[in-house]
Amino acid sequence: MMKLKQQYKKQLWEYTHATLIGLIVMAGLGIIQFLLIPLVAGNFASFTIKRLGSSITGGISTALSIAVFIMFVVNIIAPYPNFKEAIANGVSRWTNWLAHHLALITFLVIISLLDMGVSLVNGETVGVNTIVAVIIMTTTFGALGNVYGLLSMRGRLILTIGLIVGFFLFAWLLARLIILLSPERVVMVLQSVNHPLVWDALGVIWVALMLAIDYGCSMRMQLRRD
Amino acid sequence: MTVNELIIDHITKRYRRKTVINEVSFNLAPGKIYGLLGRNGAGKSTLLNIITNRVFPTSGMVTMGPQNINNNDAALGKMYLMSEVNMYQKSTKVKRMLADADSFYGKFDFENARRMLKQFGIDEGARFSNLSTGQKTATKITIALNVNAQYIFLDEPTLGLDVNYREAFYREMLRTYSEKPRTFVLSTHLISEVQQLVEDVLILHDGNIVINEPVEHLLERSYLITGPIKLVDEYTAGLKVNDTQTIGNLKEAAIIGELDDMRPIPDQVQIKRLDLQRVFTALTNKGGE
Amino acid sequence: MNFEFDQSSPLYQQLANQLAEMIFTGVYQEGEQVPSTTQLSASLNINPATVLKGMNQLVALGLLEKRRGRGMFVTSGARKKLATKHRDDFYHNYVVAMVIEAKKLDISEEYLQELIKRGYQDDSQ
Repeated sequence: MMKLKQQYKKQLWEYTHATLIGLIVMAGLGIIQFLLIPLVAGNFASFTIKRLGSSITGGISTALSIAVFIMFVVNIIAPYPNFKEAIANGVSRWTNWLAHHLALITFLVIISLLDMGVSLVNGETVGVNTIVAVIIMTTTFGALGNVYGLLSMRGRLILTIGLIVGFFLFAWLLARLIILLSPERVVMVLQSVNHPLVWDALGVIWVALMLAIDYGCSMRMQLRRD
Repeated sequence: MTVNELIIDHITKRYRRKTVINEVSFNLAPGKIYGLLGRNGAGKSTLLNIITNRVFPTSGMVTMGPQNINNNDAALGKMYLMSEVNMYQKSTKVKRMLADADSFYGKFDFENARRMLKQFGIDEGARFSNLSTGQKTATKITIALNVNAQYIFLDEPTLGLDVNYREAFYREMLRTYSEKPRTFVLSTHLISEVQQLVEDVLILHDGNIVINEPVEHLLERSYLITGPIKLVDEYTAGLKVNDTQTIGNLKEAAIIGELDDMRPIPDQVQIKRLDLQRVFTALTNKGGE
Repeated sequence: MNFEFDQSSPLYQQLANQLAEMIFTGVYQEGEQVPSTTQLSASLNINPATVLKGMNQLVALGLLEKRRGRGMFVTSGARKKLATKHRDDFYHNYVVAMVIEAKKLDISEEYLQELIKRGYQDDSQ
């Protein structure tokens, strides 16, 4: 139990730490931009509270975007290094996996709450779509990161190239398909399956699949020979 | 707290076609110092990695008491492995490694660890990547000797250490062993230096454990027969000779096993005892008779 | 502490012998405490179990005694026991070998005794 707690704290700190660094960089750039605008605009009237207010919410939004971006990156590159540090301290793969995902959920919840807060402040409707998208992306990257964690140097290279090629191939095929079938038919096909439940179900299946791959790979991860 | 034996049960490790470890079985008792010896590439590191769940065996299992150590926090929390492999990212600071050892194993002996780091000339705030090979090793052994675990595995703990630091390490290990008896498994090439440190010795050769017994017992049954070639050959006829060396007219035959007590020893033939290193080379040289 | 070890016999045996010699020559007086297992182990870089075995042998021979919570002490009468043992060893290590060697060289018992007498005379001069 203690190990789970410790590992959880460690993982949470890792996300927070990485995000803070990202934020500091962006904040620095933002402050510079903020200070430069009146200079460029030529008058100091633009220095109003409203401007500041919108800058703050704008700033938080940016921060959230950065946080999410960091989450994606960490999920891709961290699995193997995290595994090494965990096993070096007698932490089992299961505890490590659990701690990581608990930390991830914590992080996600905070981000979601902040995001909803910003939406409220801006008078927009609070929606879960962004959050859902973030979950889908995070789990996908997590699965990918764990697959990478299992592969050797060569394997990782092959996979990366394969993914990039595959991505372009997929995009090209999709374009061809759309051109082949007339655009109206595509819209019709899409509309027929545009039942929210279908998309929800697909989303759930995808996330479940990603988590399964993530878990499976995590449990099989070993110290590499290279 | 009763500490269970660590049981290595028919562990096999195969990489593609090559069998690196072949049905290896032995027990590690609590509170003993073991030497794990073997030639380069014999599979010692792989074996230690399997015992500590860093690598999976092809077959067989490792248990502590009744439980399999695989994916087992309780068991893994009683073991610690230090090796040449850097388990932390290069930018990690030494003090974070100590802090982790404390948070995950509890009761880390900071006082003693800091004293040892000072002795080895290592700054706690230094980044691991900025340390020399010897300092990296010294940091790892400092942690290994002060971490609260019952089975401490040391894979080449003298890498990059000069003779002064090596002696300091042996001294520190024996000191902490006397104060808090626990099991140490030392895997090293410097056989002559560890001969008197270890109680039992395990020799891994060609994927098998060929020796698993107290050092003293092994040395008591090892002999070096020296003398003129003809006389030595006569005396050792029919006995299992492990290794021979011929220098001019003289021959040396190493026998690890039984001598024939009924045979008279010619005047020109001497029977001497061997040290652990010589026993090791006799057992692991290819081309022994 | 000046110990020297080689391959001639088990380590614990050599340790015991050399400790006994130190007691005999008075390095450790009767009633005095000898270094603990831990101290010897750390300063000689020898496994404590080996050190303990050697010291236990001396306990069994009545040369050392364990005092609860305080350590190992040289027993009273240890030097006398050692002297006796040295005399016994003298017979086995020197006299027996000398007789065997004498027989090889065809030296009779009477002549051997003469040689011994001569040895004592030569030495006192």
